[in-house]
Amino acid sequence: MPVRSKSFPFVAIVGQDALKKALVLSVVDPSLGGVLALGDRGTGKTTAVRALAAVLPDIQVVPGCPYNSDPSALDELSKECAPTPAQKKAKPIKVPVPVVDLPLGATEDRVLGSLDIEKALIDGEKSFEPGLLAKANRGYLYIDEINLLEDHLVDVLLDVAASGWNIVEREGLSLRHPAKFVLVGSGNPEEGELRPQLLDRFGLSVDVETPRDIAQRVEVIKRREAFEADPAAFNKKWQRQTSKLRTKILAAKERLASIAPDDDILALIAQICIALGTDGLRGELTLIKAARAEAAFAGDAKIHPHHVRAVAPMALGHRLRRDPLDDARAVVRVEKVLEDIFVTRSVA
Amino acid sequence: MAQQQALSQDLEAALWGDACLAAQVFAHFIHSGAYGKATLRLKGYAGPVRDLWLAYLKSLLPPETHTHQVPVNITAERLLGGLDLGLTLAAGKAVEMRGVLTEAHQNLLFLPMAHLAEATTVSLIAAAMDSGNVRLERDGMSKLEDACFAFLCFDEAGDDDEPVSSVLADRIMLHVDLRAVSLRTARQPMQPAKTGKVDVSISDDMRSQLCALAASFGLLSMRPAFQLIQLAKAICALSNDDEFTEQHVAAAVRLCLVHRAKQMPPPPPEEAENQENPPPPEPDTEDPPPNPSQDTQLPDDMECDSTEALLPPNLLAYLEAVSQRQSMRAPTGRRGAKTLGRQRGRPLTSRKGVLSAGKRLDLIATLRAAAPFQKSRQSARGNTAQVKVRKSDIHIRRYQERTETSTIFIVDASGSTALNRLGEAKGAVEILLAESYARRDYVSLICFRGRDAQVLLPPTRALVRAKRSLASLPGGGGTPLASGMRAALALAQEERGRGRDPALIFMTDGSANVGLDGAGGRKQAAEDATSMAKKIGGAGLPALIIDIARQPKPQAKQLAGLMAATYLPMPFANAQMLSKAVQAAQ
Repeated sequence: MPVRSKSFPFVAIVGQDALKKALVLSVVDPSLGGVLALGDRGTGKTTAVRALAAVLPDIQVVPGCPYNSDPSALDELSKECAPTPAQKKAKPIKVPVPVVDLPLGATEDRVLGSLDIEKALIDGEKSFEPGLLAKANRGYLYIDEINLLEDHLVDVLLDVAASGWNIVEREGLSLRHPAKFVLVGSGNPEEGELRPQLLDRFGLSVDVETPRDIAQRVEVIKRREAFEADPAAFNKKWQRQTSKLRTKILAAKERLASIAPDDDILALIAQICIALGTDGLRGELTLIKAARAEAAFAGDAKIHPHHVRAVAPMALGHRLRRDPLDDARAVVRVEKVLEDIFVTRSVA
Repeated sequence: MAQQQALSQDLEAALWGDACLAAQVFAHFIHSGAYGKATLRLKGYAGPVRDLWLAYLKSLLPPETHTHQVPVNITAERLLGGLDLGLTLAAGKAVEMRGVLTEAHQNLLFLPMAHLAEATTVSLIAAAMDSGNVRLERDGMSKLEDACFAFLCFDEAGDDDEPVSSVLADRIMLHVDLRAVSLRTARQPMQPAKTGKVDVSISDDMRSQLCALAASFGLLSMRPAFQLIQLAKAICALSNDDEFTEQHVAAAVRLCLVHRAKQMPPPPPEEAENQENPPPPEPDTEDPPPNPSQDTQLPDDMECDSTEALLPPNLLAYLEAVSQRQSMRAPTGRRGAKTLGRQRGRPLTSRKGVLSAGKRLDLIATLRAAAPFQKSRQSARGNTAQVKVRKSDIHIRRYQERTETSTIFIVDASGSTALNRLGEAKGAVEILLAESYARRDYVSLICFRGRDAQVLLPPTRALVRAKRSLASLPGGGGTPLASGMRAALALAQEERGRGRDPALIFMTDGSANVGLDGAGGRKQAAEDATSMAKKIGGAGLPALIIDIARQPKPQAKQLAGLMAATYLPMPFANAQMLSKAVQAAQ
């Protein structure tokens, strides 16, 4: 595995345990529905997301395919985007999992894809120029400052992320292409609040804070300095831990399918959701999946109550109804309810 | 008096000295190729002092440095780049236009009026500062371009303006304040520029101390700590010293931390008493006061309490005075909302559509859509005179249609509202706040007590901030009802100017005993209240008066009549009833 020296190694990030856990779980089970990182400036949200790319194992793709198509599952492509016979015959190549940035100021045509103007002019041919959603297929789409993005664009992205398909009906084009990606968003609630509907669409949500402990803060700076002085050497230093994490993630992905929640766990999860008054089933389903991913990552064969407890704050915290008279942060409220439930359980 | 004069002169000299040092550091980074580290914010107004400083800075920069200015109303397109409309039309094929951010690569990006820059502009610049490049995904183009630039901005925010975006402030290393510097001070000869060594190493111990210093100023983001270390190194390198001295650290703290501090490190106890009467000036302000250990290394226990020793005398007092004026105008969260285009009449990006009645054509976007096809369309018809626009090119302007309401609560917090009534009122306001929040309305809070009214909470959507300001709502004192009404009227008119629909909710018993001028006297107070009520009525503002007296008296009802407001007696605060009434009032 070559060292990808451009980005700061994921395993070298100081603190930020909740964010790192949420990102790892989203790798173990991409169907969890994305990660939202909320927090102040300068907390290293962006660093963590970009660092994730280097941890992910490579994927096999059809060479030259703009959708990063999987050579073993070509049937799902529509006619317009199917690879050419030559591409099909070519030997599949291994590429890093795409982590695509949605930069601020990106226009709709580049995000969703649009008519290829050059081809239309020169060959008179109506052809589709894939956008960022195509690039992100089978990978990650990262949106920094998601609260600054236009509402309608966010809605489209969430729709595509949920369905896994980008359906194009514009400029005389009519096609659909796979766009299975994990949406990772970050934002600072002080600079414009996120709509509750948007919050609910993310599977996991974490509050990111800068470390308050001086020793930790110094460590952050030392590692950053070392990285900037020599990125390659720094990455090499952390390579063993990176591969260890990668192996663990791969094992967890394999184990995932064999883990099913038993009735006791389902009852516990329902009890937590009812106690917190989270609306809808989305919270419950996400908590089941997250607990399963957590169990798989821990190397366990079944879901234990402590797995549920570990992931409940990030799976439910953003789904609580806001209580204006309660000053506590959502995560604190979740913790309180969990505490009550687990104390009762241990007594019984 | 003479003493104060002398004091301010010392402070001026110190501030000017810092400004010149900042310019030297800024230039040092550019000379060494570390463009991204050269980031500077200058607080100060247009005038000869600022011009002198700018001329000094320019004299230090390499002559080939170009300044790329960002106008305050720049579009995302001009910043990032995109399709060049004119050239594309002429050439008949897509021609790219470079953006200011990439043009400024290895040069200087200059943002005057940084405090007025819109959230999108600030975010785009910040993204380029973070990554050193621009990722362009616009108008069918997709590319990554270098954009590593030095950044200079002028911050002219006055007391009544919103402060410069914290997104920018967080990313800027050097902060300079010229507002208190007179021309006489600025005319004094400047130190010649020095060329520094390339690198200075830093001990672990020193790194920890600098890190703790950044935190002690309430700057919890990691960026200021990182900047402080780099700045201290640069200052040390510029002075050609091998070891860090207190002077280096002191200068770094002044340039990097003090002017954006969220809190001041607690002063040592004996000096706290002297704050009213500042000590006489020391002859040399640039030198920190003598320290028991005059080693090149700082003492190990250098903690928050000795931070003041690093600063010129009076700087803290000066900053306190400045920041108190500014904290009255905390950021209201409007920046984010502005970009989202939620305000009435705010344009959104235009989209393709059919031109029909009531819709407005976006000419530029339409031409842009038509541009790449000009050659093919013209060759088809053989007519090259005009621009060929087809129906499918047409882009329609879109506006956010929803009107936002801005609910202004005016709460009587005087002694006549007994303390428990105030508690009830707070509870009711909190519930109303939560509902307004759910409807995505803006909420603001004015309270009146004692001699005057105060805007406790400027219009905001941030519920957390609202709750915080409500919790600190004090009670007691006289009842300056008219002042409360005046403040409400002013705020309502401001809100109208922003395209929102204001609604006023008064919680009072209608009795007043302090007039507009702050003087006591029931008669004058009642007259003032009556005339203000008429003004509010004349302005046609929807209003609701909630009479919170235990035994409702006629005053409040009369005022409601004058204001054309709904009157609601509520001897016992009932949140549900309140909420319904408020919704009806809007």
